[in-house]
Formats: sequence, structure tokens, C-alpha cells
Amino acid sequence: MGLLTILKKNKLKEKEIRLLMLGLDNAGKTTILKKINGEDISTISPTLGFNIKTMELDGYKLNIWDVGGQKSIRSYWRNYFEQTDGLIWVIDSADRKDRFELCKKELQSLLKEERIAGASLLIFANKQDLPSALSKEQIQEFLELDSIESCHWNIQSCSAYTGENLVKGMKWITNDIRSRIFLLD
Amino acid sequence: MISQAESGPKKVRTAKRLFMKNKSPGNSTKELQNQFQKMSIQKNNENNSDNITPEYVCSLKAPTTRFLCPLTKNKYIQFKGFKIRDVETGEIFYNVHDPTDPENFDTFMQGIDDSFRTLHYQFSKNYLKSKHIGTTVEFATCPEAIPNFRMIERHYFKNKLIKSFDFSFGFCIPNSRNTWENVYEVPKMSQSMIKEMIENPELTCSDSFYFIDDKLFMHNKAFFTFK
Repeated sequence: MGLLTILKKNKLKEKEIRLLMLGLDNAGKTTILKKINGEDISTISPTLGFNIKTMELDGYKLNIWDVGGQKSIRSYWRNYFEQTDGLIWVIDSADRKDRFELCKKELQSLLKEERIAGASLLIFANKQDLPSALSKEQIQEFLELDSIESCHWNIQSCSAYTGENLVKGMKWITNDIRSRIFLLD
Repeated sequence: MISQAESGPKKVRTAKRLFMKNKSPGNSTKELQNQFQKMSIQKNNENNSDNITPEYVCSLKAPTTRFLCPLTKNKYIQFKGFKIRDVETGEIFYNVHDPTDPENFDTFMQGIDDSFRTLHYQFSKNYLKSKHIGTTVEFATCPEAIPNFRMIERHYFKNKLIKSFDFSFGFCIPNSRNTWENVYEVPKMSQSMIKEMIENPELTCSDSFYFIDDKLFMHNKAFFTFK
């Protein structure tokens, strides 16, 4: 129910919000999506397509698109950029060094995309429950997030496994989208 | 094949239809009849199913009296799961899931009749008391990319529209497996209406229309009973 509460408090001017959740395979995108919806996360298999959640409340709609992160699927990501209000980039904070390099490369090329350039960017530094996880400060430095000027961004450490900080991150991105939409008026 | 969680055997049999075909062997007369029926339905509908637009189905005020497109139009998607839950209480009203690979998309619709796309659901009364329902569909897609996939669903009670859904999936990745959960507020219904719905099995029903690039390629019907 976490998400419905956010939506309730976020009487958005825009009737429909679209969030796109991307990241390398095994980052935990689907687990995040299920956890914030109070669903069972014990049996999650790799996403070979997309998982969408639509939440409708008082005529307001929040759509979250979780698209698979496997190499063969990444080339299709661009088909989901259109009308994205917020991008959620999910990272396995306990991943290998070479995967972090790849993660940085993929994120940087995403940020060059015109169609998502204006979207709010939330980075989930996931799997903080693992002892080998890098801190959000370490990840922020490695990904050179401070050099991002094209959009509002925020990095949030979290654990999809325990649920820690997931709602906090979602609140930030929906609030940021709302404030941007108001600024446009 | 079909894994089943917290739903009675009768319910499973009904939605199983969308995953598996029950070809009855040896009954050649019946088979021929079915084929003939299928051909005539195709003939009747094929001429005009290309004219069925999203705007048209959104303007419908009552359930259709027939299917608006032939079964064989669907060479694009195969359903692999359905789940209906109460988001607040966690109660699962319905759950079927088929983890197997999809069948050949060019041929999987051959030899089946309209019972395949007519579903009968039986839910507990609690369903009518829920405030927020989450419905999940899972589907596999054909080896070609699907450009612009859209679903429109119209729910009726006694020929009166009570809820409608219109969702654009957009692009679907070739050979993909996808899910969509729609969490929505159940429309407010009076006690007398709820009572009527319980007392009148199958008068609650729905039409589901599926479009690619605004062209209808699939139409399913469902009937609901509350116990």
C-alpha cells in the first residue's frame, strides 16, 4: 500500500505520471516494484520483457515500467523513453568492478537521450543489506553524478530485500516531478 | 503445467482455456461442425473487424452480442497468467500461472472454438467488498516486435457499464514475457446492487478488446459469479 499512500498525498496537477525503471540485469528492479506493492518477493525470475504497475486513485494515475536489464533487451530500452516523467536507475551496490563500469556507461548514454533529458532521475543504490555493498557516497563519486546538469537527480541507498528506503525514494521522485510540473505553469 | 494458488479447481478449469486447447480426438462430425462454424464466423466478421476501432468499442454501452473479430486474427500474444488480489488485505481471489513456453504463434489458434475465449469466473463475496483490487495479466509475445499494443476492457452489470479500462502497452519486445498489474479503486456500489450481483450469476460480465496499431486482433468475454 506504500505507493497508493504516496499517490494520495501527491494530488498531482498532471493526471498521469510515467516512471521508467532501468538498470543492469540482476540490479533488483522487479523486486523493488513488487516490494513497494506488498507482494511476495521470494520467487522472482529475470524479466524477459516488461513489468508494469498502474495505480489509479481519484482519477490520478501512476504508471511504473520495469523493463528487463539483460544485454539482449537493453537495445529495446529506447522504445520506452517517450513521455517519461521520471527515470529510476537501479544499481546492485555489491556488484563487480567491471559491472560498475558497464553500469556507468549505460547510465551516461541514457542521459544523452533527448526524450528523457528533462525527466527527474532517482538512483537506487540497492542491496545495501549485503556486507560488500558500496555506500551511496562511493557510488555517487564513481558514477560522477555531481557532473549531471541536465536534470534533477537524487541517490538513495536502499534494500529491496528488506524494503528499507524504497518509499522514501519514491516520494522524492514523485514530489520532484510534481514541483517541476508546477514550475511550468 | 498450471500452477494454482488459493483458488478452487473449478476456477482453474475456466481460465485454463486461455492457455490450453482441449482438442477432442476422434469426433470427426463435431470437428467438421466446429470448423464450419468457425469459417462462417470468420466470414461474418472478417469483412468488418478491420473497422472496429478503439473509439468504437469505447462508445459501447452494453456487452456485445457476438465476438467482433475472428479467433485466428491473433498471431501475436498468448496469455500466461492471471491474478486478482485485494491490495489491502492481501487476499488472492484468483491465480493461475503457466510457466511453459508459448506455442507456435502461427498455428496455436487453429482448431479451437469460441469457448476458448469465453471465461467464467467464480469469486468469493469478499471481492465485492474490496476497496482496492489489483489485477495482473501475464502474456508472451510472438517472434516479431509488436509496435502499439493496447487493451480496452468494459465491465457491465445488467447491461450497464460499471467500469472501463484503457491501457496502452505500446511497444512489446519480440519473444518477450510481460506483466501488467492494474491497481484500481473499486467503484462504489450500493448494498442493493451488491446483493443483486450476488443473486444474479453471470449478469456481471466484461468485454476485453485488444488492438495493435488500432486494429482489433482479439476479443474475449468473461462472466462473473459471486458466492
